[in-house]
Amino acid sequence: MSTRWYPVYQRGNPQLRVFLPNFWMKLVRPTEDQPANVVTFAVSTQMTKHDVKNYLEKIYKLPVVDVRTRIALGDTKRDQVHGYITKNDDVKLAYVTMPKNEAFTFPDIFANKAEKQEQDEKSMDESKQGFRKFLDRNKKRPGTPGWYSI
Amino acid sequence: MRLTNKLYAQHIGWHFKKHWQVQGRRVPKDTGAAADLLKMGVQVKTSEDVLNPKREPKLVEIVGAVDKPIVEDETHPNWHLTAGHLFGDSNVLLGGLPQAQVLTNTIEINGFPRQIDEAIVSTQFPKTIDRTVQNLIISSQLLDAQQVKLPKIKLIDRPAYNLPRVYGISHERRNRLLINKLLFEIEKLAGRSVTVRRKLIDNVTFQTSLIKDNDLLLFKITGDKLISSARPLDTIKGKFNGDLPDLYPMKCTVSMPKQHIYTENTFYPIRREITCSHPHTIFTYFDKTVVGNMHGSEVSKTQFYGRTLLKAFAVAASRAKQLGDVPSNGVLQKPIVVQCIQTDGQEFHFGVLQLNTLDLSSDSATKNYWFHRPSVDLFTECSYQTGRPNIGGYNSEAFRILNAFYNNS
Amino acid sequence: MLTLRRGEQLRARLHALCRRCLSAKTQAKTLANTADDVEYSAEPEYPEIRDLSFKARKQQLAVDWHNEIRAVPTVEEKMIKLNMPRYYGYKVVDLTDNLVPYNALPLTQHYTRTVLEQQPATVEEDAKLDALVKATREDVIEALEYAHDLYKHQLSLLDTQPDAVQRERQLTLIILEQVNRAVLQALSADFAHLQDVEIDYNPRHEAFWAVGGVDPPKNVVKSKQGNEWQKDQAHDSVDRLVQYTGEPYLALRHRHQLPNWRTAEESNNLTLAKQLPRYKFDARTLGYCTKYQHAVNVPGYWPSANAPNFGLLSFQSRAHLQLRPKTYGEEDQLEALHALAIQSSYAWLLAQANYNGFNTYNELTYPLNTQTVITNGREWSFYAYQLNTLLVHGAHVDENPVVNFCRGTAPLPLYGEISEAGKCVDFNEATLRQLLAQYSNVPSIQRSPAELLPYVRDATLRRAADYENGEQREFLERTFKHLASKRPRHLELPEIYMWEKLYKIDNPTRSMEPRRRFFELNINPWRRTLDQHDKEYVPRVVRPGGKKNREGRYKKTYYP
Repeated sequence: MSTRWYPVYQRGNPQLRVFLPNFWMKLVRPTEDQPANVVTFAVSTQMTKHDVKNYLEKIYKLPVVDVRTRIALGDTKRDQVHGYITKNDDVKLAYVTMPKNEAFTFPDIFANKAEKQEQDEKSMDESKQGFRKFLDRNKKRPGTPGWYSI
Repeated sequence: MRLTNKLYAQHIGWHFKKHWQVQGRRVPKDTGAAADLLKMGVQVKTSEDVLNPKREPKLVEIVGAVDKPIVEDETHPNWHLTAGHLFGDSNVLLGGLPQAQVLTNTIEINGFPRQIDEAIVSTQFPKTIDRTVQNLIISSQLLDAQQVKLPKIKLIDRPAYNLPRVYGISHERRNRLLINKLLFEIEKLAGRSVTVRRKLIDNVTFQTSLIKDNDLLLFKITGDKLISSARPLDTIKGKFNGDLPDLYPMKCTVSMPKQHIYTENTFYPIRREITCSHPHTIFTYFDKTVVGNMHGSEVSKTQFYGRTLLKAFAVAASRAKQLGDVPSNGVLQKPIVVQCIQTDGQEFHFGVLQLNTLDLSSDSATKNYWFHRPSVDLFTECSYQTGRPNIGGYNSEAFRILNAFYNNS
Repeated sequence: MLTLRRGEQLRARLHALCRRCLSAKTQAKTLANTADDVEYSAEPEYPEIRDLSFKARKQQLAVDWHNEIRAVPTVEEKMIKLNMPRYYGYKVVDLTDNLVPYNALPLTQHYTRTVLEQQPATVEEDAKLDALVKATREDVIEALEYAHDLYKHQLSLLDTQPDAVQRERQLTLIILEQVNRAVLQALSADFAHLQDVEIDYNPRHEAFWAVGGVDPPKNVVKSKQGNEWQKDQAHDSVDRLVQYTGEPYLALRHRHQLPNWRTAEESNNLTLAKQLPRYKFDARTLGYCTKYQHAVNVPGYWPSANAPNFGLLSFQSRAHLQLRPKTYGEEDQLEALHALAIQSSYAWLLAQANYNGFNTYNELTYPLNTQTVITNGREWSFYAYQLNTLLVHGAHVDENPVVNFCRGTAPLPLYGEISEAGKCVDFNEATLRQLLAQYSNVPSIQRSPAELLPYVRDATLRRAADYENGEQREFLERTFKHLASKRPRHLELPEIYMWEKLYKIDNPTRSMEPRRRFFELNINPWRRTLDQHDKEYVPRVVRPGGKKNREGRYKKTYYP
């Protein structure tokens, strides 16, 4: 993060270079179906189309053809206890078009989610089983500590 | 209940406040110390000056996204001390045609030159031509599909009344289509031998300035269509005499707005080196929402005529100046003839100007000639009547004159 | 469900009873009069069994509506009929002639059902054309030089130069007017059809059509998935409505049609239709916008009895292509030109078809042709288009075997450059030959009015102006122009304020307040139909049938 504010540029100003600006880009899964060559990013609201384009081209060396942006209204939510309404921040969405022969598929981060869950459940079951066994064993002698055994 | 709060007389805070108010009003006694110090040459400052020195607000020069317009005052690069009298696209002369005559040193001749008169009478048209022209009037005035917001209609008796806004073909487009279609029809009749010697251009600008009796006249007009020809129009044969009208007590520049910002250079839309650069006919549209008197009154017939003359004059003068062979007495070796047609889509005013001299002073011996007839209506009404396009009172005279003008060489 | 079936059973039983009763009666009659026998046949003739599933009923409703439009007598009324379901207009994809996003060709081909073919850059050798080129060459060069010189001189007067797009538009218009005039004059002696053309200057071209085969938006999918019996149809494709708006530099029209360059057999090709690109995503994913407006079809003029109704040639602008970023690349630039040509040609022809009584729901009965030139004065691309079908909506996008054809060239330079001295350098005769070939294409097809306007009533009633009733004529004319003018409706669309969206719709926090707003009363303002407005009041003084007549209080409406 920069310690300087990124001032609004107006014509005639000297070109100001801000190192480490408050810019971030987050790859998001599009809500509606899109062509394969379009990638959706959530970006910081200060970023312009040119910023997005340069970011991807200069840092990630991506072939960018066109960038379209819009600002999406943040969701509102009702507080469960007190009933007041809160609102998330607005976010800028950038739709980045790549050449038409390129294709992007959103990475499936949770591909082995089910597998992992199964594993978790299995270990949980095992420990439950163990506890049940322990209770079973100590059924006849209530009040004695666990370590008191042969 | 009492409206005011109860005063807590024993409230210490209140007492402090009052005390400060009283003390604040106390005028310090002049001890004479300041005067003594001044006498000794020591500068005296009030505590206010030391604690709160005055700061001038700093003006920030904001560049902005677009260039700032140049301020139209003495700092303008084209600012002149002597004001010029402007004739532009949106003003008419108060005195109408007589004033225009005096201004341009022109005598009025009622009727067209002989060859045009003959052409109007003698030209034979195919039988279907009237039908064709009526159709093209309808197609340009009614059937074009443009739908834009038209100027507000005001009822004179009820000026605050808001009528529903009318959508339709804009005045400019209506005229453009009509003239284009009429000329297309005329060119079909004229044949290739004539049409190759003519060129049509839209939206041309003419600019020139002239001196008349110590007054600077500025002409800055646009022609909505210009027909240029390969050869200049022939000088009109015959001798014409007449006197300029007397405008007394009016001055000839009355109602021309004074301008301090102007340039005195001349602009003619076609370079002189080009073959087809001679002015032949100039078309100007008359839109009463744009052109008007300075004080908003209706444009009268004679003012309408005067506008035609001045437009023709501006074209001829800018051409004469572009050609550049104006002798010192202003009398042109080869007079310039320009035809001018002014129309509001319905009423057509035709005129021919022969520019003999650029010397506009009142004692000039040579005069310019202005041939014209009263304006003619192409039709009396053209509108949808109970859902059917209708044209009434079609008059073929306008088309005949237009055809004669086009073929005149 | 069960009760419904029960009801139907009962009804069927009742019908059977009635029939038996009636037949008994008629049998008695037949003894007296045998002429009534025609009502009966030896074999029972049952009506067609209709599919009563929800989807089939919906489709039937749509077909019924399309037939209703077809049955409407006049051209204007058909257009009003098309707009009847919406007071505030349809939500349409906004295609214009000044925006072609990246990779727009597949969408364009899908939306217009067009097969694109490359036309050879050289026209076949033709002695007549050679002679024409020779004859017009000098005139065209002179026109070009004249136009350039004029515009350059005009710009010298201005302090601030107009931007590049504006400059190109102005210059191209001057060039086109000069070149068009020169060519028309040179050719009109040899080609009589050029004597009869009508030239439109910057005409207004608009067209409206429906496209099927587009993926449904998220809200539609969700709402269908919420219904148990609609779940399997949640991802069925939906129709999108499209409105094209364009303004070419010039358009030439003629009374007769251009000859077809594809036969009916060639156009009727299901395998070709299946190969057409399909753009299933929302058009907004490309950068197109949507807007709400009425369906408008305008080929540059209003319907009229004796106007030349068929397009010959139109000149389109490519000035806005300058605004496309360089990153789009050369290939996409060419595709953009193709897309522009297809869209503009299709839209113009569709609008012409509309004036002959067809529309996006009522299929063409004969092909229509036009030619399109896209130019910036120097680069010229030439296209020919044949419109065979208008059915792209609903299932037709999959089933309709007929396709439209477009063939075109890459941009060809007419000249190399205009030198400093104002002389035309490297004049390209091949380009001029292409241009002249388009001008000299004689519109030769003439059809009888009955063939031209099959869905319009008859010779006495084709347009609204043919009605006998003056009031009706006036009403139709006014309504038609009102729809086409795109002016805002008299009653504005009710607004949902932000606080209402936050505290009433998204989060229902104000449960104790009376429900009075439209969204709380379950009213969808977009669903308002065109005729749902107060009728115009007739003052007592002018009321027909006397002051006391209460029937004539409101003006009659004549919505189709």
